[in-house]
Amino acid sequence: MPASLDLECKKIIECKQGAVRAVRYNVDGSYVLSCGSDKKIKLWNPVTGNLLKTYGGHADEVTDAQGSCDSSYIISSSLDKSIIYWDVSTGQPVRRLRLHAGGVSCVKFNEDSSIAVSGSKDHTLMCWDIRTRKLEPVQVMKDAKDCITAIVINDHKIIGSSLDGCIRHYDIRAGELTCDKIGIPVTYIVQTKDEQCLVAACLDETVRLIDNDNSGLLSEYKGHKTEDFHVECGILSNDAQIVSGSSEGSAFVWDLLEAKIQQEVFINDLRKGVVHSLATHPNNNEVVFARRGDIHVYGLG
Amino acid sequence: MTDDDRFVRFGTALDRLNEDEIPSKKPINIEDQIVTDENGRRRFHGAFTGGFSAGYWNTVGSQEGWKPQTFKSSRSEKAEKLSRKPTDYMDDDDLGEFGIAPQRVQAKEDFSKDRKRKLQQQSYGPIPGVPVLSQMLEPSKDKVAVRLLKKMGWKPGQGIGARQTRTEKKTVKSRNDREMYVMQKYGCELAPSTSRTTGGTRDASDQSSSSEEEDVTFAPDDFEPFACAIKSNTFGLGYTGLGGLKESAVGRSLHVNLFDGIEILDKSNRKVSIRGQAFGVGALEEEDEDIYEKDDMSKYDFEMGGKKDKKKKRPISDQDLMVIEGFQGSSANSVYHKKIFSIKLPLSFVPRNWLVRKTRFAPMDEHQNSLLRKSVDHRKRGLGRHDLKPEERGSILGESSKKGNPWLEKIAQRSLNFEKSQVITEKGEEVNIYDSAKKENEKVLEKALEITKDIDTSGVFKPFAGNEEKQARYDKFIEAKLKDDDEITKFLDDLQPFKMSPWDREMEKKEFVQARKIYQPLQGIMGERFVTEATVVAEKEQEKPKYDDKNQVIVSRVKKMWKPCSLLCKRFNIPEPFGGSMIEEKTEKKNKFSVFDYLETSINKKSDFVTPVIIPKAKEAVKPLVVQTREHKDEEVKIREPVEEMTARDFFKASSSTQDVVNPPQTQKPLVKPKPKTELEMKIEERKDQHPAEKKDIFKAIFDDSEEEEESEEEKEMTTIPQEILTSLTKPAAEANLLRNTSPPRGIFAALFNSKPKEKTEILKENEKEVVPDLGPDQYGPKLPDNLLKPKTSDLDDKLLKLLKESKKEKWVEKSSSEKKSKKRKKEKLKKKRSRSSNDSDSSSDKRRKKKRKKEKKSRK
Repeated sequence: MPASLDLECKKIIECKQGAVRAVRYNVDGSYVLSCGSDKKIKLWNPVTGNLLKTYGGHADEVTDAQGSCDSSYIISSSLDKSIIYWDVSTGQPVRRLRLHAGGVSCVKFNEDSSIAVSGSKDHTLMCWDIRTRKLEPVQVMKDAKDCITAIVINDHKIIGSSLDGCIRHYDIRAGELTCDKIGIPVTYIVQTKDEQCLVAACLDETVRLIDNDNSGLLSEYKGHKTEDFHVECGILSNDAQIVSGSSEGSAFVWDLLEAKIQQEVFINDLRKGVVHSLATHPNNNEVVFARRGDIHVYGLG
Repeated sequence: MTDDDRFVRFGTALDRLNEDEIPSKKPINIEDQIVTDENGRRRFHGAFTGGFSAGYWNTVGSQEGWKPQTFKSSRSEKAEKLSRKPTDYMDDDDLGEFGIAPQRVQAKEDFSKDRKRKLQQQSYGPIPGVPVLSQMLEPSKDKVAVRLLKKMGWKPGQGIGARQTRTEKKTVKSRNDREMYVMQKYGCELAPSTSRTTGGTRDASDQSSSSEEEDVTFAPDDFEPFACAIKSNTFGLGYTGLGGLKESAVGRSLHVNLFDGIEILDKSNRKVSIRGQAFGVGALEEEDEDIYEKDDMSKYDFEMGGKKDKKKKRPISDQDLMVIEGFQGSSANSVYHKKIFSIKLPLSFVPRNWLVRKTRFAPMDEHQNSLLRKSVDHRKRGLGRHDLKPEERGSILGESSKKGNPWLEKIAQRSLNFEKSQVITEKGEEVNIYDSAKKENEKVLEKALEITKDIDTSGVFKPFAGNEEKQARYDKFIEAKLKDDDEITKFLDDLQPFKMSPWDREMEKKEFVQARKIYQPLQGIMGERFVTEATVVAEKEQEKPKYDDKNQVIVSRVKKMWKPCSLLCKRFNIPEPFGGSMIEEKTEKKNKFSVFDYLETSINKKSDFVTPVIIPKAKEAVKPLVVQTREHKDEEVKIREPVEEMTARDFFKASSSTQDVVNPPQTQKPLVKPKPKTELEMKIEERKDQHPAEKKDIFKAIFDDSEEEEESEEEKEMTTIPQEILTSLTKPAAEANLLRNTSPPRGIFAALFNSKPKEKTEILKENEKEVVPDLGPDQYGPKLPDNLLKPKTSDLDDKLLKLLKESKKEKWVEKSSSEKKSKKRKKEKLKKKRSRSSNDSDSSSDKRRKKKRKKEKKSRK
């Protein structure tokens, strides 16, 4: 059974950009973006650990970033309330979108990277038309009652999680807003491959698997420590394992179905430093963890 | 022998002129002879052509042309600061011999002959400045001329020239004297030094006897040439003014103050000062010899009997001048002060300052060191003052030690072996009070112990220790820990003795309660204040939100409408839900602040404005605003408030969307209740799909011109227009209602708006034609265009028009009086009409006007 294989460390990259606030794979998982607290984004080759490019232009810590579907642009959000649309090759900001009233915590492209959706600490989601030069959002969703923590976009939905304990599905096709109230601040959400379920990291040190269709709570994954940190979770590309960071220098891998801890990955042997950000490879069973100023690339045996 | 042999020739001879030949060339005229400079340029031009030749052909340029200097400065080569001298702007001519700045070697302005240039000597010694020795020992160095003279046998003091015999010398001297005299008398003034020196030489020569032989020659007398003072005044030659005799020479101020006291030495060498005007030349005096001479008191006699020999009276004697006997004071000016002696120093002599070390770090000479130490020693010892004992110092000062106060002596003596806490009695005994106090303290303590023996200090404080019974009761009361007032009374009643009065009991109770409050045991007080750590932690634990209760986490789902932006749908490649006909969220765009907002608000306030509500048939359409609840949480369901002021666009959207909306399975709530339609609206609805021509009446009703109205009053009753529509339509943009939907009209309104201008023009044309309007019995108002005059299938009958009027009255609320004047007229008319139509209370003026118009009409016809 391949799922029983453990995650093994493949590479440790010292980013040298302060604390790494977020780590993300690009669309095909061949590159890794790291968002630093020194206001810079760095593009890495996760296999070799080479630094490919540095993107500087934010005025505060970078909180999130994503590469476009053709890997020619990057969108990044920062605590300076702005979103920057970068040209990957030149490293220059193409557009700066600053209409949020608070620090932007997350940003995502839609499938064809024509729309960027950003979630902010001002409780709003904003949809930006990247194709045009318009510096105003196409639409603003002001439904959340607290900071937006994560966004998931699929072909017809924009899903945003908020610290008010709700996950809001903006269904464009149906023209309706579905608000799933969990009641516990949600720090991160990811979607399963089949887009049927959401994996939500909650602040009560639980990762929950929620059905999209009927908001049923399918499973809960416990055992890790989050304290008050914004700890992210992920689901491996085989849709069989759920990963989450932990505040004690480790990461946890659960079996999706059995909800049992499969492995505790000791990213730091001294159990120091919060493993708060992670990204799962879109195709392979690989995970990138961010701990303090380093990123650790792990892969299934 | 020719002439040539006899003469010595110089130079080259001119060609001999042939007498036959006439000189071919004319001599050059004077005016043609020009002066050229070294370049062959003409130096002097005519006055009108510039005068001088200057620069480069009288230009400021050069052969290369005039080239301005460009400023250049780079990192490697910094631009130098240019400092221009005047000569930079001068031509060569100017610097030449005759130019304005001739270049030649000349003495500086401050050059003086008698000051020698000093060789700048560096002083290496400790004393700054020129070494003293070199000042003292100056080398004997004369001027070159003097040295030459000396070599030729000249001695200082002698004159220059060939040696002379006595007679020759005499004649020379007399000549010199005469010349000097002449110069003094009639010539210019002499420099002060010269006048004196002449006297000195004379004395010396006087002594020589005339019996010397002729062959003895003498050096000629030194004769200083006249140095004439420059005449600086305009007086006549020899005039000295009223200056004193002595000062009559030169350069003194000639002013004499006669009224100042003049001091003169008396016969007995007393100073006598004479003041006033009691002197001067008397009126009868004849002698007027020396009118320019200053009147001096020395000229006056102060004693009888002729003058005494002046020589004896000479104020400055040889003795005064400290001259040794046998010598004479030199009358010559001792200008030359230089000491002319020299010491030959041995060759091996090296000057050195022995007190100074070469470097600070070099060891000092032993001898010098000791000397130095000695000289500094007093500083260390402080002049030896502190080495002395007081007695010694006293003895030095001559003080005798005195006996002081016997008491003080005693104290001083005793204090040597004085102990702590001792007291000296008057008799001189020492008593230790410390010990006695100790004893007393012990006694007191014992007493106190006795008193407080029965007070139990270890346990609870006992406020009623005096009364044992009471205390016992109190203890019991404390133990019981009663709170309730009644309970306390009951409890105490049992305890208290039977004999106690009720008042006493009451008081005791109060006392106890009070005491309990005040004399709480320490443990209790502190216990309230402090908590164990465990409890704190426990409290914290409790405070923590308990997430881990699994049963509490129930994901509840609430659904509601959300309209994605059309562009968002486009980008997501999704058709807009419900065909994009969903009601948009109320997007209250924050208008950017503008000054004009204020101007607008006065007229077009939202509250003032009543939106014309013409509700079409489609009104009954159900809104697709749906709230879907799964968990039956009705409190979370947000029902959109029915929009009061709906724009026309919204209506039509809503109406049109009814066809597309696929009804959700859940319950639907119509949010806007359809209002009961007015008849007018119904009519309009009926006519909506008709051909425009058929709807002409409505158009008429709406778009009748005001001018036309005036003409056809009768018709007006029938075809009154909602003026507000017109005005609002024809208003300028600024005046237009902001709240009105500015989107292009749709539905009926589209038709209205599109047809409007056309109608108007046609009406105008009609007016032109309508000089003699032949109106049929059925037709009212202006003639309609022919193409519109089609068989009317359904005309709006009178009833409808009446209804229209009525409805208009209801709906069209008149605007505030602050409307424009142009509209006022229309309004008046409207009012008029209304008033007439409703009740026949016509004013007389109206009637009059009406008549007038009728007349006009007739005349036109």
